[in-house]
Amino acid sequence: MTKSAVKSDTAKRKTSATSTGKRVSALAIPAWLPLGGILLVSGAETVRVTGAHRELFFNIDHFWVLYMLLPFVIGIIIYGLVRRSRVWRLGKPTALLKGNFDNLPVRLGRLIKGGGGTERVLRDPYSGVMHLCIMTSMIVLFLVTALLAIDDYIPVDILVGPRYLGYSLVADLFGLVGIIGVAMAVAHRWVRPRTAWLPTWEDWLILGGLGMLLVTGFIVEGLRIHTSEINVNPEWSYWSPVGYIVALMFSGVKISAALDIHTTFWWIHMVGALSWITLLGYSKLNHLVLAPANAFLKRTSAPGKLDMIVNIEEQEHFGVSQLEHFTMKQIFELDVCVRCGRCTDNCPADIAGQPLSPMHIIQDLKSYATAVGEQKVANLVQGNDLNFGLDDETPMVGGVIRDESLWACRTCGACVEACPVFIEHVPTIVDMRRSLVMEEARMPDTVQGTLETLERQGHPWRGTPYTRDSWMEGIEDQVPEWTGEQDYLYFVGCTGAFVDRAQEITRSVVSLMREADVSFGVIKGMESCNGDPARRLGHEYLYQILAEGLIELFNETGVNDEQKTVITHCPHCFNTFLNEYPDMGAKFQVIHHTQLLEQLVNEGRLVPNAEVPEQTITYHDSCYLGRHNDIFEAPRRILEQVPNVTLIEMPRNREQGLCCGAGGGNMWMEEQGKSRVNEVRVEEAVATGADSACTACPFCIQMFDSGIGTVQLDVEDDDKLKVLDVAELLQAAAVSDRQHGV
Amino acid sequence: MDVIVCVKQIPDPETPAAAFKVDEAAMQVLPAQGISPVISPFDAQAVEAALRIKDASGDGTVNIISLGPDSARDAIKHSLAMGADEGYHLKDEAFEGGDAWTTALALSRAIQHLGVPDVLIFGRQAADWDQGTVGSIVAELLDLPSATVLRAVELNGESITVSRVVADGFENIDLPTPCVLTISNEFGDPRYPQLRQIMQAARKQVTELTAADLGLDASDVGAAGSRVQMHALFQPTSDVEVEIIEGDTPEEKAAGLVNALREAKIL
Repeated sequence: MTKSAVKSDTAKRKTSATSTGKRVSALAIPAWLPLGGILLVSGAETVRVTGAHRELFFNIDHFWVLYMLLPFVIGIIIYGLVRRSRVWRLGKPTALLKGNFDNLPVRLGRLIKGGGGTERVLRDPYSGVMHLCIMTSMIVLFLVTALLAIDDYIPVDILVGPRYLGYSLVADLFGLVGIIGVAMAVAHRWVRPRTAWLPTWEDWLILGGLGMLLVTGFIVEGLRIHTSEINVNPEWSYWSPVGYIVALMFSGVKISAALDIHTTFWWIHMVGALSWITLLGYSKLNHLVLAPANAFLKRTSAPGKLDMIVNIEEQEHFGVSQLEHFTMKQIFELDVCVRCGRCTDNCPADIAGQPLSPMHIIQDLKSYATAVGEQKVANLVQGNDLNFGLDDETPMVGGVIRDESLWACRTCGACVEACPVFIEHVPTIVDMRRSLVMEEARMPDTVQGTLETLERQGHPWRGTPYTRDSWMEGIEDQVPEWTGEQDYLYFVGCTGAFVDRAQEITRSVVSLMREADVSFGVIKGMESCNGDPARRLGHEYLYQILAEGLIELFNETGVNDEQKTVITHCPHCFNTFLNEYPDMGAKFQVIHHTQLLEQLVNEGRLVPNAEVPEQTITYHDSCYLGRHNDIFEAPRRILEQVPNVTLIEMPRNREQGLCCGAGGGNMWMEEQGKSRVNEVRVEEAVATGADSACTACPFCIQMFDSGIGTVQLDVEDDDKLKVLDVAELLQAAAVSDRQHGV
Repeated sequence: MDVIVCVKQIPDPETPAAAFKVDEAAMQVLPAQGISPVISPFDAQAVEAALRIKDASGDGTVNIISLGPDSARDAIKHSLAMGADEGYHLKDEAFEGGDAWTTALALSRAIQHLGVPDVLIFGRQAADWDQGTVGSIVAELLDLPSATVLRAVELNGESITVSRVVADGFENIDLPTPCVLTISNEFGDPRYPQLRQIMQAARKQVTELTAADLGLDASDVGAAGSRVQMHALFQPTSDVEVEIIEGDTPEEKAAGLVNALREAKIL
């Protein structure tokens, strides 16, 4: 069981169709059934009507003006986008933007499903349906208009008789769908405001414009029916139901006056449409083009992987403190943001009332890119120094983006997972942290202490009374020394070694592996941190030093071999080894202890048949195991196989799981804000009524333990939520006689 | 204003007790596995004080001297990374096994060799042996005024105003320059070096000086010149006995605790 095991878990998960996105997509299909029904029945009905048609440019002179305007409109849009692209191009080119496309099929799939199919937008039922209404309406009405034009220019008349009537009906119904969508979007902003909501003039301009277009479209149609159809061929007009109703509303208006009003509204509608569409180049309406592009551009590597600073010693700057230090893609995606606020709604820091909102990070950077980026572009054009005249600008890092916001990030990836337009907030935040730590050496005392301990002692647990081998005191003879001959290296990691609560889990894992006769060994006394905390805290240089040291140890001890597998105790070690160490020359395979244990249970080498007390358990997903590495089911399947255990879920689970609060180095920081993330998560676990919370990460365990201390302060000890690692529960069920004494 | 800071490299004071071992026969502390020695925290604060003096005076240099084995170079490099200008490493087999007196003697000669600066700064004590004497001995050897265990240092024209931590409060004094200062932990945290400075420091040459360079005879320094004789080095053991006071109610437990404390003559 190796890297392929990770993939198989992913595959199984995908077939289980549990993600919210899929559920909402499934809901969306029945929603369209009535509409389809109407169209089918109506289609059959149209056969009975013959000769129906309408005149293009009815009642309109000088319509050629429109064709004259069209190139202007397209030009204005392109000008807007090209102009803006100069700001994007201040950034550094990525491999992708140099034309080096990796994983093209994945990217194209994302472009189609995530861009065109709006897969992620649909995860939220209300706004998903709203967006689908507006989008389908726009697409259908665009096609309808195009078809009308085509019909006019080809010698054969397509739109006559039944075809014309069907066409009218489709156009009418989708116009109505569009109005429903716009109404939902307006209501969204009034009736259903979200914490992160930030509606601006842009929203109202786009929505107001769109609403105006749809309404004037129906007025024009109604007036045409009133003046030319309802009295001559009334049965035709039934096929434009909305237009027919509007026509009835105008029935008191004299034909000559109605024709004048028709002309006026026709021009308002048409010029309005062409004006509105120019917003594509100047407002968040650009997401029509940019969002699918961003879906294509999003990295295809594991979401928890950070980019390595290659040749760090030769860099002119470390991390990002200026706009031009970002990659082009990072600047580009600032403009993709539509301010939907889903990132912030899912951000653990924001949920706990702490000073971070991923949406505001992106939006504030976007404003900065507009103000300062445009000036930098102008400087380049005029041949000035890039930063000419910008000395008095508020600095980007520490000014526009506050330090405490950058530190509050857990790198949990909930924002990235939630973003319907595929923005990657976490690398952007970590890049700015890199500048704080390496460029400016400006960080909270707790961060400094953690980094110093990492530098000096090779682990982040400042003040620990333990040594690397303290956990095996009394059972040294039962912990085999790594010889290079065994199949698995058990990498205990710093937390499993230096924190007493985690030491218990380490011993449980060892006990289970001995019970199942796994061929494993431990590098006693010589392990060091793999660098993950330093990297997440922004100290890429220290990460690289630690990683080089550990890989050297792995080389010397025969671990760094494609045939060898490292079992990690901690999901953070797992992510770093699996996704980031290959950049540093690692060749070994990686597996998390829950994956190994599931495999051992499946093979019958561990039999969880001992009675454990009857209990309900809720499983808490570690971000770095779950969201970042798609391992959701292995730990759950272990729990399901333990007798007397009933598994229940918290509302936020799997891809939508809430971080325990420790990620991104926050394990070692003081939290600032209204409440603590771990308390919020413990409250969610307690609310399920579960007896125990199970997880598979030593950080999560500690965060839960300390959260329970405050959330359940007044609860009797016996009634408090228990917190267990999956391995501990399995040990209780599968290691019957504790013969190994651990 | 020119400053010289004397720093010492010591075993990391944060070494867990379980990893701290001494060789009782050789009367030496054994280095803990995987834990690098560090600049004594008080000395890092001394470097911080020197850098602030340099910043406040607007010019001058901050130079570093350290006496110790090869690895002591890392303590100098750390100081350079924090922003110090030049480093001098007193490295000689003859220095080995010395005490506070021989260290102070070698340091004072090195300071004279480099030229006595406006201010000489030490940490209040090295955080390994905690004797806290080297700074004062150097002041005596160079015949300079000194102020020890400082929580604040302020430039005051040509003189320096300092605030000492004393048993019952603080004592503020003015000193003329040149003078010797020793810095206490109340002074504040030392700065964390910027990566660029760490890299520059890594490239910077550290000047090595031997006993002979300083005009010292091997018999004056190190074990030969030591005035302190060590008789034994051992890790004290402490036995802790725990008695749980039983009782049905908190009141009973409290009464039991009071009785136990009285029996132990604590109350």
